[in-house]
Amino acid sequence: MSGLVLRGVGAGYGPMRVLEEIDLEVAVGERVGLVGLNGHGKTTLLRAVMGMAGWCDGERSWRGRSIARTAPHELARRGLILMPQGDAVFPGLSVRDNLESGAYLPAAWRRRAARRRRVLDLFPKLVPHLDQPAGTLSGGERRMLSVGRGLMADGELYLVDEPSLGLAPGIATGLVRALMSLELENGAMVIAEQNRSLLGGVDRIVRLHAGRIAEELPAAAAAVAEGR
Amino acid sequence: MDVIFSALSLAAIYGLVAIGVSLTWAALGMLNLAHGVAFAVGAYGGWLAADHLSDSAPVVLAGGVAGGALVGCAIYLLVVVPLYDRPNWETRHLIATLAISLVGANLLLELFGPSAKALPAVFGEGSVTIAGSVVTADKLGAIVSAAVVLGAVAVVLRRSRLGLGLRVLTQDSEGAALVGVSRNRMALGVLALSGGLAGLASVLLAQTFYANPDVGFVPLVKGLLVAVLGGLGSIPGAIVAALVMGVAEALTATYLGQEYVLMTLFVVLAVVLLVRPRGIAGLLEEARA
Amino acid sequence: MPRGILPRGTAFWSALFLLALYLPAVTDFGDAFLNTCVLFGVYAALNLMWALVMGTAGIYSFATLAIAGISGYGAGYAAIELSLPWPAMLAAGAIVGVVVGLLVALPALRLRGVYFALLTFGLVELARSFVVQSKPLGLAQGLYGAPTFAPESLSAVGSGMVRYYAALALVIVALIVYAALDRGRVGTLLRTARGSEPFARGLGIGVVRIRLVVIVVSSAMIGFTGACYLAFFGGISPTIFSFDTLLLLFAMMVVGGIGSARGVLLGTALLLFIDQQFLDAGALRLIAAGVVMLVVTLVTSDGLAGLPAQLRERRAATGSLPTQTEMIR
Repeated sequence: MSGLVLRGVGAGYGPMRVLEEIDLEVAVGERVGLVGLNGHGKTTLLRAVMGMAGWCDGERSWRGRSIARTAPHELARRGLILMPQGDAVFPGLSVRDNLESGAYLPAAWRRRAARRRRVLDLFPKLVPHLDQPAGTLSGGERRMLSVGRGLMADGELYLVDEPSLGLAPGIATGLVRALMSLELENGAMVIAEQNRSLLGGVDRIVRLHAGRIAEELPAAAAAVAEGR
Repeated sequence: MDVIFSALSLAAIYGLVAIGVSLTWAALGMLNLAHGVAFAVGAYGGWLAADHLSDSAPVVLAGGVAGGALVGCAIYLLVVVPLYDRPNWETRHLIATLAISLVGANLLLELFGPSAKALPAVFGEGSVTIAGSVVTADKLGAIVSAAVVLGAVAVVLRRSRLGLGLRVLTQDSEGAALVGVSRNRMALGVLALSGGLAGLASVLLAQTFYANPDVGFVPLVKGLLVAVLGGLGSIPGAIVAALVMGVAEALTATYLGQEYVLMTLFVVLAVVLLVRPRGIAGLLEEARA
Repeated sequence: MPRGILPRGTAFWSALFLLALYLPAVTDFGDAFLNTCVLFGVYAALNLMWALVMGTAGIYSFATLAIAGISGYGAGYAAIELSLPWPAMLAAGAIVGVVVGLLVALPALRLRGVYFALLTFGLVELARSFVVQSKPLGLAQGLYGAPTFAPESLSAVGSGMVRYYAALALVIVALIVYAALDRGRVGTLLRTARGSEPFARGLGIGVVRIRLVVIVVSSAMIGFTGACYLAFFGGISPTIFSFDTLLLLFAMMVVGGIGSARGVLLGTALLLFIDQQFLDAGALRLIAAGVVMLVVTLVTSDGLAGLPAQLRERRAATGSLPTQTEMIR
């Protein structure tokens, strides 16, 4: 069964075109790493899948159904989880509320207690801060919370944007390992990451350059390229 | 003692109106200047229900709530659907809600005429004596039912899934979409709820303000004052502010005279805003920045 | 006409001016029409100043009518008590306007948009409730007996002419003030600040100071206009503080377009026409005004005067992007 299919996708903001003619397929169960320099379209690609770039054209579908004209909150309902770059938490809400908001949709809401235990097992550092506003967390804790929020939902396709950005190496490694340990029975993952050494767990690496796909490498080859 | 009861009954009504203003702001960044129409239509809804159906309390109250909620839905259709996400939303929603407020009041005038309609006293004509002062059943009923409803709304917002959705939306609308919150559905719900609360307030207050086309104006102004004093978007802030304004109004009316009431309320607001630009709860966590 | 010799819009404004100048010569003035023209002058002057504050400076003020009314009442009261002639009354109006403007400006510099809007909203209601309860100011009936432009000795026709040209002069003065603040350095700076406050601060623009200037200057003009109202009609009543009047003027400004002088004049003329034409229709005319306001707001992003530019933009937008492009948001 086909997973994420992008054909001839272009995207940008206002008169500016960031992506051009992107063709990408991610099979169900597959993890794809997205690499490339800053400003070459990684974030825009993830946002375009979610319908959150300024504008976007071309064919986009997930598991056989088009997602090109679906509103972001409807995509969330279909299991597309974007973990945005930076401090994407609700700063005024408590850590607990932030986590529960990830399970906002009715199906996930019923199982939120179990989900929360699972997330807190992955990120035990959040436990002492559960009742404190998310805005008071440290950068690393906020990133954990943002990823944790994504894990609270009935996710299928995870779109992860630069989880390691600005984090201490130890924390970044732990965070990415948590993401790689995720079961992807019916799902898939696209993870944008500058630091290729963190992408050991992916099946394939795609490099973006100037808004186009410059090369696709199997993970092993990518690791070799990194070691060069 | 009398002052305390009039303060409480005023606070109850203002709280019901102001929470609608505050919630709408929280969900949409929208200052609903047509909120007074919901209040007025609520009063007529109660009157129509009493006139055509039955003058029992639940029917009249339901008529008021339904009238107000209907206005909320109309505002959703006329303002939020066509204008949200378009350029100049900040200015245009003010203009559109003002236009609705203009049309609404005059439509009521056209339909029902300028004369005031009396609503039945939903809590009966009796009165009780508490701590030496006589309180009419009407006043007591308004205080108790408004307190119950406000408490319920506050609890639902704090504890329920939909309440969380609304709080998330207040914080960050993009993040809200990512977790699956539908802003449109939330907006419709909030506007209908706000309108319903305003309608409820108008029926509860009907023994003081008779149903007439302009009846929504004073509650709109005072509701806005209270919502702003409390810090837009903050429910606890609005409740505290309603109490503050209720006390200020009751004291002023008793010791200085009714004509100084509005002035006092503005002075209170101006002083608080100059000290804390975002109102009483401006420093609390969740007010929309 | 070759481009660039005269400022843009010269032809339009000259034509308008000539039309206004010779209007009395080509039409038969009835009392009603004359009154409408005078009212247009007053409303246009107020709306131009309001548009300056709200449109150019981006300050959500609803205090315009409050300032006009307070100045009108203040100047009128002083003129009646001290038997001042009308020029002194106009000066008094401008002075009261500045004082009230300063009081309004104080919170404007500190509060965020909506909060300020509410505070000024309330100022109108505050002024109304004060005036209708004040005996010296004539309670609900209003204040009458103020000096007028036209001396008593003048014939009815002559006094009509005086009032007409005085109204025209008022609009011209307001246009000059508007242009001076909207087109010049101040206007550019304000628009920059409105676009991005941090950016403006970065440029070292004293946003606060410029806003203060706009509020004070416009308030002086509004106060002056408020006093003119008395000089036209001999009195003033609490209706000037009513919610309906506020809404009507606001509708005029936004229907025409808050962003330009011609928009403001267009909207003022259009809604004043509706208002005066259907005076007998009572509530229906306010319903009509509200519907016009709502429809224009839903359809246009900057009033009727902004419509051509909006259409041009839309055409340009669809032309420049690939045809398949689907706009999201």
